[in-house]
Amino acid sequence: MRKTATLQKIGYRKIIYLLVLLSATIPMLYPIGLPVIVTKQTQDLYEYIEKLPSGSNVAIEFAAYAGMYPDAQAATRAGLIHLFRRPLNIVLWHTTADGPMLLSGEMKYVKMGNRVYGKDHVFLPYVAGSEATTAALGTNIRGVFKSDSYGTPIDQIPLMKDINKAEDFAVILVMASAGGNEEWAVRQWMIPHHIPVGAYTISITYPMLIPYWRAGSVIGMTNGVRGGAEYEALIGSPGPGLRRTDVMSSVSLLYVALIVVANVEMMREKRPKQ
Amino acid sequence: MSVIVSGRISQLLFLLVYSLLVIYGIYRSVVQKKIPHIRQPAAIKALEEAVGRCVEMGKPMLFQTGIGDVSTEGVTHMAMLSVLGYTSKLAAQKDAKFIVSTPSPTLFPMAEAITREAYVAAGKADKFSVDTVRYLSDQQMAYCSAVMQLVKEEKIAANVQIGFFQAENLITLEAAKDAGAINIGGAYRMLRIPDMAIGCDFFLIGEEVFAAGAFCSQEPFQLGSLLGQDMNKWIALAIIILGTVLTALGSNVLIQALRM
Amino acid sequence: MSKTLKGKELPILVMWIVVLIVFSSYFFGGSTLESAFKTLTVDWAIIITNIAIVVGSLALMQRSITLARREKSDKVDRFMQIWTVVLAVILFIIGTTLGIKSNIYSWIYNYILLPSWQTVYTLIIFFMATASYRAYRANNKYAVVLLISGVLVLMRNAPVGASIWSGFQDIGSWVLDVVNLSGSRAIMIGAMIGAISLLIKILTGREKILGE
Repeated sequence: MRKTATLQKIGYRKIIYLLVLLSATIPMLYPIGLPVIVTKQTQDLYEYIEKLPSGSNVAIEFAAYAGMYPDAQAATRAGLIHLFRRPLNIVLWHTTADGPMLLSGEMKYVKMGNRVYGKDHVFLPYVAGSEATTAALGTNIRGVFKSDSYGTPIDQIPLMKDINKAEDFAVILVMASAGGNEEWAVRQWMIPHHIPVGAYTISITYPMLIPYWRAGSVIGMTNGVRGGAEYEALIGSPGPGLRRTDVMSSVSLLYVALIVVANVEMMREKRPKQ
Repeated sequence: MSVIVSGRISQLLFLLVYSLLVIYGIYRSVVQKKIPHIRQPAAIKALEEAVGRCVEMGKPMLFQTGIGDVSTEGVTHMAMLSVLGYTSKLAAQKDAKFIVSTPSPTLFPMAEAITREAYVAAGKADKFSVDTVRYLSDQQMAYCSAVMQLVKEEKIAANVQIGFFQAENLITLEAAKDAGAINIGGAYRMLRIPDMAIGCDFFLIGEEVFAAGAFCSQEPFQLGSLLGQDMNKWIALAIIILGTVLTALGSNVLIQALRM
Repeated sequence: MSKTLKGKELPILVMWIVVLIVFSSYFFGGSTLESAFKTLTVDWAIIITNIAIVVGSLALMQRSITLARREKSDKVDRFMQIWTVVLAVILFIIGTTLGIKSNIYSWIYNYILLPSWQTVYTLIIFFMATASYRAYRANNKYAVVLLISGVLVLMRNAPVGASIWSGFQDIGSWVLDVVNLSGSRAIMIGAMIGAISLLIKILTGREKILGE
């Protein structure tokens, strides 16, 4: 009786929380370095970016939320490194208030090389709104943005001279979105303007994008931390993703173990007592 | 030159057909008095039971309005507000302590107005206080922490989360579970359905959230709209089957028609 | 006049105008309609968002002050309520006077706010563990299907899954790419049809959100 009272007093939750803490912390301190298999969706995204002709215009909707950013950080950083490494023209805007601060943190890891601001890349500021804003950007960027993040009027920026609508871009990439922005891009850029959509996204959004990927509306997407690790492996630039895969593995194994234990307990409870 | 933008003709056609079918369903129900019999989802029935549970246990019910602005997820918020009106009326009638928490500054006055109205309609205006509807924070994680504290402090017996939620969804559901509350949820977004499935005791999936107002009120007008909705689903199913058969036979007539 | 403002008719009329502009600009195009669409949905969204931030901040401060003045609040509670108001005002002053790119704002953002938010988000792994233990039980045939598919996708996503058995990658991908796909599409189609129905009810003023 005393043992049962103690277990009930401790509660199964505290035991589980302790196990989660251990399974997340130990691999961080003693990484194993398990290999990561690249999935088709990540491969498609990488290859599409890799095969874009030089001088293609790429639109990036940076939709990062601070709280959920760790899940998308690896893919976002790897995506930015890849994009800025290639000879592409990049126009980036923010749709979250956290975006500018988070982007400035990631740009420290991006090698700019011979890039000149205003000629091959532009950072536009934060714009509030939602699907309607995405739609408005697809038809008239100047209607939404009057200047860039630094206050330079958009008409004075050389790169923006011939860019004003969705059709002026080769692809739109949605980065670090908490979910929803990719669908907006599909509805407001892909369907009316036929501009393909790519997504560097969190793991929760990934299953939701599979129908669009199958239909060809989304050219490829990454899957949270694991997707970030895959993308890092593809571009040959290890980062937070590859460092976190062992934690992901151990915590996943713990979840499976808990499911097994729960079902064994349930079957024992259901067994008729003799 | 086409009046309708190219590539959107079929979309306009579908919108018109779908709308007309909903209007027909309403007409059939209200004018012709042929009210359809609609199965009420377990989550809606559970709302009344949840209020009863709160009264018996002497603990409050928490209703979360969901995150995001009215301008971003207006349709879902409208559906949620219908359920809020119904639930707050039940809570007022049965004298259950009712707390509404909202992370949206635009939803806050709307939620307050609807809850206050429900209390007034139930003749319990004096039971409505400034503490009934609480704006906690528009920052997602700050809101999440505030709800976790609220759930523990107030020792809630029932938690209702029907509407638009993000990552804080699972955390608040589990926190409520930890406090011994039952969870009633509803989400139309694919992202949140798995959270609801494992965290809730009863939940609404997909279009059931939008139809929640009809389920709650049981009015002929509302039930007629559900009939129209169901007829639309049959059309969508027919198109899917037809498209599958035609594509298997090597014809892309339907695909071309849908791209018009 | 006040009766008109308090009634349902004005909001419904405004909704009809907005819906007609949005739909017309999408289906019929034209620069006038697109301009009207942009004004309504982008410009007004920005205005409403900014007003909402002010309203929300003031409501939060008012609530904090009310709670701090309550007799039944203990000293720690009162201190925290007042402190959060003071901190919010300080951050507002720093942000507006020095700018968000200033060192002090960046420091506060990167070393106080960001870690706090991310810490709360990571609570998900603990709650997912308890949810896995509590909810993934094979009580009935549907639960068995949920359980098996959940485990397969979990092992597909975890890098260790492929190391244990290569089949996890293929079967997990099949569950995501085929089974999940069909379910997602069905739910999406149903949800969009439901949204159209709800829109009609709102436009006819029969949805209770506008009052009795």
